[in-house]
Amino acid sequence: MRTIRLTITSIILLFAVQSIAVAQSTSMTETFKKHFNETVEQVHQTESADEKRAILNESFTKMITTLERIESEANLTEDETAQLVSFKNDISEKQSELNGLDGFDEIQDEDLDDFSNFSQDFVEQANRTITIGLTTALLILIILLLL
Amino acid sequence: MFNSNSFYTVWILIPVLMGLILSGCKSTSELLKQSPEVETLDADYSIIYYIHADSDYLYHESDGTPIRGNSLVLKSAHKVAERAKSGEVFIYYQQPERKFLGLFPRRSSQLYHYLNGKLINLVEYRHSNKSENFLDTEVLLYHQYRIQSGNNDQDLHFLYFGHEIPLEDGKKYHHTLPDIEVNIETLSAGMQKFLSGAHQRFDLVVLSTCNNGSPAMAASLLPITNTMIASPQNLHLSHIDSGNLSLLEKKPKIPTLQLARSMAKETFNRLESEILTAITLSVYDFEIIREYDEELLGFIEFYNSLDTRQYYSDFIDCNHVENFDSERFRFGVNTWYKPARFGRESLKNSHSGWGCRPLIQN
Repeated sequence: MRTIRLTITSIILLFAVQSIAVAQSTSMTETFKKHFNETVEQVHQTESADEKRAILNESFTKMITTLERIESEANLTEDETAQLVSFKNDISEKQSELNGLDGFDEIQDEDLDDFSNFSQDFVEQANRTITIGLTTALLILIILLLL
Repeated sequence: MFNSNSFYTVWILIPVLMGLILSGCKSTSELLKQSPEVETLDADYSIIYYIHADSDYLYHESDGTPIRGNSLVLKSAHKVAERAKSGEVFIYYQQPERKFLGLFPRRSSQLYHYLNGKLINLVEYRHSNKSENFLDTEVLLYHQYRIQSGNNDQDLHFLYFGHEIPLEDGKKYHHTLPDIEVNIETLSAGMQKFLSGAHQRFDLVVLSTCNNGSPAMAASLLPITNTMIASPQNLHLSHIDSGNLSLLEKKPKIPTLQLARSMAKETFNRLESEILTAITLSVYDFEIIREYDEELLGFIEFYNSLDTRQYYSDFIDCNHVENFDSERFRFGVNTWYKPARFGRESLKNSHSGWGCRPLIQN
């Protein structure tokens, strides 16, 4: 009886591990979308323009740093790296516009809510999805939480 | 070592496991099948929805509510199908392939088949060949379930909802079926298999994707389509509205071009009030564009010969590309455009309606 129980428990555990492994394959862009949605909610809930600007700057910096770490630490293909770099450049451009760098005029205080929405619309557009493995996904989560 | 309880356990477990294995072997399962009444075995038009959900389709509404898996598009497709009292509607909802307990393949995608406003078939299916040609399984189901209408003038419309269909390669487009190549060529070849013969064309093709209002996509669909709605630039995940397909009921004789324009305008008006990124939607009249198809192909050939195209960057207006004959290529193209509220292109006030990959500046 004990042997049978042991066998059945082992089979169930094996199935459970398999299911978790399959379910955990994830999309990197989805992680960033969730992160940036929280940023937009914080911007809208804050009254002070300086704080709004700081929240946005912090969020952009976190995403850029995370992407740089993935680029250097994760084992990506040439194609995946190109997608990552493109995504990073686009976020950098948004940060430059926020702060009036690289030929942009600085975003006015009264436009900061709209600018956060605009940046979210951009992040959530239908052109891209970068799929990565579980290890890299965990790396993103850890970096975003720790920074 | 073994007692009678152990034997019972084993005899219960074995059939359960066998059942799971055998059920996993079958790639389709009918959850609903209703025989249509004989007098309703006809339809004036057909609509095929292909809704891709095997990837990241998360976006947030203005109040922060997350929307996943193209679920709103599916709801609106059902509404259109229920209103199609004289039409036949197929809705393919391709979801990520899943396995029960990580081992037994499940039929996670669905086909909803409506006839004259009623759901007559609901089929769960999976892709048993993991490297099949794009749309092969869907085409097979279409020919298996569609009614053999006696109406030879039946209009046929195809609506695609998903991410940008790439020019080449396209592996990993499906998150869980990475070996199926999805690109402009495989889409066109797959769509062609829905048609009854070489003489038939889609009356309207709607591409609710980013960056597919391009010369390459147009050239690929020219032989099989008369009208196309697409965006030459980015398109927000809130997608092209298809609600105006109900005009096929209200005005059965409506010209396809008029129908397409009303859908584009309705979508543009909604997006204009909802999003702050650029909105570009175009309706392409292929009857007219066929008159200059050789020039268009010449431009594509020239453009493809440039090895300085930036992959993974947002498309730009082809007007900014050398050799693009904006005077010639404006015929047959209607564009609704609103620049982004912010960004480098916020002062641009028009768009040719054709999208091209940007070139690396020397």
